[in-house]
Amino acid sequence: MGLSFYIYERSKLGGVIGGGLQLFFSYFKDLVGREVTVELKNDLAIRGTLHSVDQYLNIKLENTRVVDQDKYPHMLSVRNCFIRGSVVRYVQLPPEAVDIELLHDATRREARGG
Amino acid sequence: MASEEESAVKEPLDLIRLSLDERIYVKLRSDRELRGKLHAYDQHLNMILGDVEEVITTVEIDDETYEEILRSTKRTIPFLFVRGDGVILVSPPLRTA
Amino acid sequence: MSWAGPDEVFLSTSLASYLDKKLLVLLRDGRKLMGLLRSFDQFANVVLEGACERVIVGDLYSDIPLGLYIIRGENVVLIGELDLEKDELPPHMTRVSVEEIKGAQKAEREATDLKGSMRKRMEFLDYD
Repeated sequence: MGLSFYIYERSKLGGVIGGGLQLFFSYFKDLVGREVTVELKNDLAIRGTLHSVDQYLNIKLENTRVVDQDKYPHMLSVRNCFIRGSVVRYVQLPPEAVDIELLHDATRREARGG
Repeated sequence: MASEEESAVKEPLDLIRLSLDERIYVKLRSDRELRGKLHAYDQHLNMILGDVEEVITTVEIDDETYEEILRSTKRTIPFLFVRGDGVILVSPPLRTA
Repeated sequence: MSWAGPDEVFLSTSLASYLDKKLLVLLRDGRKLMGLLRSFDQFANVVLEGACERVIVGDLYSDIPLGLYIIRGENVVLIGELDLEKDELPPHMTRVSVEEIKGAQKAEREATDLKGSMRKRMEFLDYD
């Protein structure tokens, strides 16, 4: 259901999937189960295992730890969390989960369909 | 060689498509700048960059003199997803003719 | 007795697994609310029962009771599930009364304002 499936669907349907483009949604689905660091627009950075993602790029993390724990004492007992997609600034990705060729291919298809 | 369709520039995002696999400069909100290799993007300017160098410029106020001190902090990140809503501008690499 | 909208919300990244649990909700203005999640929708609008605001000033903290809160999703930064086995806060932090924390908050705010206004005065001096 990840990026390869996305590319397959794109090639089959000629670029129209219900009007919604979703390259990064597909990409993040491939990352489920991996360790990522999500940096928010309020500068809070949280590391954890990606549990799930949705079309808005809302993210659920498990076994979370805050990078600068001393600055955010209220996060001490938070082990799982839901992060609203709109407040994300960056997601640091594990290098072993980045297939550059696949990303290029998907991006070119998305650009053509958009 | 790229086909005519692939290399034509009709709209702003076409320039970004031509920057795929090239090092680009991205200026972000909250005084952040990135330089990195563009691996993926979409119409929102969500992006994945590789070998990223981030520079954050902060203004600190000296406690004694109340003078503004500009400070920039640098860090590198192997692979970074950047959410498009924070992007102010993207600059492709300069091509030498 | 919780209602969480149509079935499709359960298919995506959903807050369904957090229903009836004690949560921490971080808001965009930096406030920290706690309470039991009773309902939510696809915008991350949430209903918190027994909500309170946790105010932290330095090593002091207090929980200000608020009641039943419906929070507009736009203002939500993060919703965290609290591990009840673990301490909520580091041991060096002290719980104080609502009055005390409000006093500490006011003092903190005034200190920041003073720094800002001193800077403005200095900038003014620069123009001569």
